[in-house]
Amino acid sequence: MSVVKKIGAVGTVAVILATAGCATSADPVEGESAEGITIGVSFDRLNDAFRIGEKKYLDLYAEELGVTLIYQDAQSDAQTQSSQIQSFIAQGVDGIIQIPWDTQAVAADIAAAAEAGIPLGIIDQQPADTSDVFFYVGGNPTADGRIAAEFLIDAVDGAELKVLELQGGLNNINGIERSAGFQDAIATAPNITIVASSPTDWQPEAALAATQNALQAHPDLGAVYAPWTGALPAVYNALDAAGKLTEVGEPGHVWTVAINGDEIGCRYVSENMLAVDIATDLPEMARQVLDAVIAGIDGEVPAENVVLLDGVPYTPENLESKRDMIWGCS
Amino acid sequence: MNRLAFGEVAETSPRNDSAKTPVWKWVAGAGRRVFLTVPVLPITVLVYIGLAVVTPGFASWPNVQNLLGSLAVLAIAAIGATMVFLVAGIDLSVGSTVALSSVLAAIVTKSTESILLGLATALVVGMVVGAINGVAIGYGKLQPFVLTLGVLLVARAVAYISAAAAAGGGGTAASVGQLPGEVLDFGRSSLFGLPTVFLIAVVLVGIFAVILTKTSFGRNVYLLGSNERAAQFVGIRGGLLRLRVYGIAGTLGGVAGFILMTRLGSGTATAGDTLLLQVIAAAVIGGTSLFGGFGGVWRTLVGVFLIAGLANALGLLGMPSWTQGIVIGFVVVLGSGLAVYLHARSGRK
Repeated sequence: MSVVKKIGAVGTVAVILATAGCATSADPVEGESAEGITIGVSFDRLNDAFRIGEKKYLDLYAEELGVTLIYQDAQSDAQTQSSQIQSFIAQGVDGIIQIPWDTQAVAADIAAAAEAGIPLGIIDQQPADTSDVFFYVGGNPTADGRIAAEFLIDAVDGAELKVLELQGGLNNINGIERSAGFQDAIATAPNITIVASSPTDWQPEAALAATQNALQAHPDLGAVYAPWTGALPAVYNALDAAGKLTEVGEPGHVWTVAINGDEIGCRYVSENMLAVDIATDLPEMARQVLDAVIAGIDGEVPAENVVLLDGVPYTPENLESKRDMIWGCS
Repeated sequence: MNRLAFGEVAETSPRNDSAKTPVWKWVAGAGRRVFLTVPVLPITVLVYIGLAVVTPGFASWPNVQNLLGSLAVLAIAAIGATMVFLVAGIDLSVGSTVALSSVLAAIVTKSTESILLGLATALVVGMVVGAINGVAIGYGKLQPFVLTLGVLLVARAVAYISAAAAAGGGGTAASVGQLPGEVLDFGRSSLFGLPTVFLIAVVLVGIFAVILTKTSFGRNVYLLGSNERAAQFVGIRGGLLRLRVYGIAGTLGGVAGFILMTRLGSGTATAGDTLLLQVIAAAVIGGTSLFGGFGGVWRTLVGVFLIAGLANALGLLGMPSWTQGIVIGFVVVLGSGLAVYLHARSGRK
């Protein structure tokens, strides 16, 4: 009898709750206000300072504009992200913002959103094919790499220099283009030699090993290019172990140049350790994508559907004047 | 006769109840058998009901369709993993097999514009990886954990290299896209209102459930996993059986890779990184023993539903990934604990 009672009770509860669940599903999306706009935001991952910085500025501008954002984290999985976009469409959001994990698979998300008549703005990770993209805004990795190289060229003013180039993930466009931009610019300076280009897949451990190896092979190493600031603690660790960690301007200084603009870069620049950091313009990125998506909701089409933002270089000398423009410093 | 080897059949077979048995007693008995056979099923149902109550949009039909479509890849890959667990093995390469299959299938589909050739490629790739695992484990007597870990690394590397080579000067090296439109059309199509890929997964689960419970091959799988020595005594060739099981698992990984390609409209080398743990979790939550001889594919399908439903709902709630990990981690532990408890309890009776 007791088993029967239990099954009966579970069944009754199931019917009641299922009915309640079905009723709930017909309700509007939570958080959507009658006068406001709701935008679904799918991040490829939300587990590092850069993504958290992007979320911070999206939240900031959304609040200013009175827009409600619903976040989903794809946790580095293309299928999960695709499912999230489908969920947003099913929920009836007004617009979608996406940082794609798979820059090829995002084409299907773009098509699905277009079919549903929902403007989809993409930030930071440029789709492989941008022809059907409603709007994309991101950093300019080629220009960022070039700016870093040009800083070194100016800094050594014709003197001989051996450089270690750390490379990020070579399976993503930021890693590839930050390397290409740097190499192309360095190639114009015959006095500067890249002694090693070491792939790190954005891993600090790999950056540590690469720096140690370069210092062993080239005791006269003069500079390290880090395409993301997360490599810097490892680089400085290796320089310190080799007795070569000095502040910018001191004799025997090994130049370090980096890209990102997060709090790590800001701290090292303020401590006069990092010669230049090229900050991605996250505030502008967030503002532009929100403006474009909101305009799209009103039926407008952006004048340009692909916008690349050059980074903001800042150094120990000009940090205070540029502090407000650097997302990791504010 | 070994209890574990044939436990699955006994649990799922209807008892010879008397014709005079009241309906409620029959229902109660059936419910009890379901609970003992798939202990996580009632829990999954309750979890779904709870999620439907607290998660706006979770029970809406578009979201249900989305959920069913998204779990197909995991379900198909998990069938093979379950069979491997049943022979007391483990296949860490399952995620990489899916990724490699999807990438190579995408390359072939893109270059030939033939979705069927893409499917054939995925099947062959999966079969080859599975055969390598099966030969090395079944005949080479290599440790499944170590061997499949090595295969995981190699398959993943080949997937990345292949994607990079296919990308050439443009695009990214992690995926192969811009496939013919029919690929996505198929991956997002519906039959009878349900996603086609989900129906394919359910059909495959049904086929392998029958194979495991109604054929000598299936009974041999359970016996080998629960008692290898006994299996040898009755003439089961363990090496050949393991080769077949790993071969089937690899082939199913290929099918999953193909389905993944059709869902995304691209072959992606990064797919395997998250899939492996989900596959293991689904099998464990479903109650399949990692030590072999006990479990089944219906159980695993329920585990897949539980994981996919939780992930879907927690995402809809906007829960951060860290918190999602805690919730799903607790469910894995509690689900597997319950399965172990009920298995032990039913064994004492």
